[in-house]
Amino acid sequence: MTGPFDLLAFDFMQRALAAGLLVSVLCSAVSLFVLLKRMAFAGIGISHAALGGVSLGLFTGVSPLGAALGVCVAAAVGIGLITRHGRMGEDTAIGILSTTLMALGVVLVGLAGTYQGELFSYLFGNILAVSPGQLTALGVVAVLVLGFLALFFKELLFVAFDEEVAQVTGIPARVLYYGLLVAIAFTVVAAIQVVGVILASALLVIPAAVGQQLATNWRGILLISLGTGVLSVVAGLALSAWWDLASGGTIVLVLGALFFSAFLLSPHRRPGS
Amino acid sequence: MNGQAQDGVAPMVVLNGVDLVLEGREVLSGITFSLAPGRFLGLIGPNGAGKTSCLKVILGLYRPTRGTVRVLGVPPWELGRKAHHIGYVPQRYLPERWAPFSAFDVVMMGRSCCIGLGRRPSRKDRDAVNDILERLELGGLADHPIGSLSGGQLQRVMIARAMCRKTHLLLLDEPTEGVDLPHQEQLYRLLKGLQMERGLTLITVSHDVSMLSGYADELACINRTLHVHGHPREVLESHDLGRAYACEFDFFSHHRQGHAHHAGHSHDHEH
Repeated sequence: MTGPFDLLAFDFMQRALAAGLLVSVLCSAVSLFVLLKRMAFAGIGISHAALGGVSLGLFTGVSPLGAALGVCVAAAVGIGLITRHGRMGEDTAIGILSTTLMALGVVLVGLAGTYQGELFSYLFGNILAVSPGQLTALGVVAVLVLGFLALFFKELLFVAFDEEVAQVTGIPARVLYYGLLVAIAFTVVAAIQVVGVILASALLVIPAAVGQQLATNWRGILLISLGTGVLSVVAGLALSAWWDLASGGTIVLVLGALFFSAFLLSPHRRPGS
Repeated sequence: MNGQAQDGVAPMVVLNGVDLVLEGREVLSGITFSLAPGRFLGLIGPNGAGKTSCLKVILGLYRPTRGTVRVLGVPPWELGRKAHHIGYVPQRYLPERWAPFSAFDVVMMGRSCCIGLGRRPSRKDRDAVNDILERLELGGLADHPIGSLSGGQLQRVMIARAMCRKTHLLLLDEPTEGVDLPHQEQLYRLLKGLQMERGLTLITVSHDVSMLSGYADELACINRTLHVHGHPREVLESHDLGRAYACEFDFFSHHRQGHAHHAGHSHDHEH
């Protein structure tokens, strides 16, 4: 019987593992700020907006992931602008933008009606089909986003904790907020290659939530988040290869299992809850 | 006063004819006052009178619809690196119970603006944070999660965060909210101590005049317009104060007797 480790002899499996590791590290780092700034819903909204982008790309013949990146960045900036300048909360802005852009996707898919198969791989991810070019693109995205986080790390922590006071002390809080939204958009598009549009936000939300159950300090949360992301991708990939399961779904199921285990083991749960 | 405080010293804060309209409602109208360096101003007035908005104009968070505002000689939104000299303690901040920051982490945030991009805090930064924690009687709580602190401890952490660098001007919005009475005294005593030791200029917003008037050098009463500004005793005895507070006048008549006891310089009236 061929085990998951034997599969590593194949180029496609090596690329899949490399892509998975890159995306998991990227998502786990962004996940800390998604948790601290309460941007989980923004992550979900931006990832669902990607459906509009992917469909637009398929319909017009440009790169679906390139189009998804454009639409996700536009959605991210739009969420920021509507929240800051409109008379509504962030959740309403996200609800409006993500459903409108998903609707665009649905209409475009219906109009063409020929590329359902390809669309399916974007909806549910196809990590085993990552090309060398896509792997390079993932590397560039990871360097950009992780570079942004590293350069502004302590400023982002301050903005996540208390945006108004950060701004008063001369930190460009508004710019960093938009920077974080755009970083989420880039990360979502990277995650789409691994787990697809539908599940991309899981990689942004769950890793730091596992850390939050087990650690009391952001340093511990970040470390556990990174460990959770990497473990879920490696284990999910191995299990999906072994049992011939959908790789994206398996990775997110492993993430979910890790979260519920951490929740049950958490020392911070309220007594009686 | 034309932007000059008494004795020819350049004022720390100057507001000149400031109007502020927020969402179609006039929140502040014709506010004019200045504050000399090293002074402790209590900004008082009833709830919803525009005190917080006035503070936010000084902080540059709101731009006046009309009139000018100068902090350290420039409009607050043009302070640039000088913004490090301004400390701000917003209205009662309740962190999430799970907020994953220690008291030390939160105070260190206040130094992020002077550490430099992409840099980690140096020994000097850590020493500065430990020093201000000690000064605010929080030394033993440095490692405690921020969500586990009491109201009084939390406010002192927020003051430490605002004071962990070369702060010349400290603005506080209702600092005693959520703090029990004995710790309110402690808080004002610490603020007064910082003012004396460091020549700090303070502006404290409060709707509760009784304790503030014992520590502030001057009081300014705002209810959309500036009703009265001067030495606490003069302000508490002024009939303008009663007009500003309208129905709450009896409360102040009662408090006039014993609370305005702090000796300080009287300040020019604007009206």
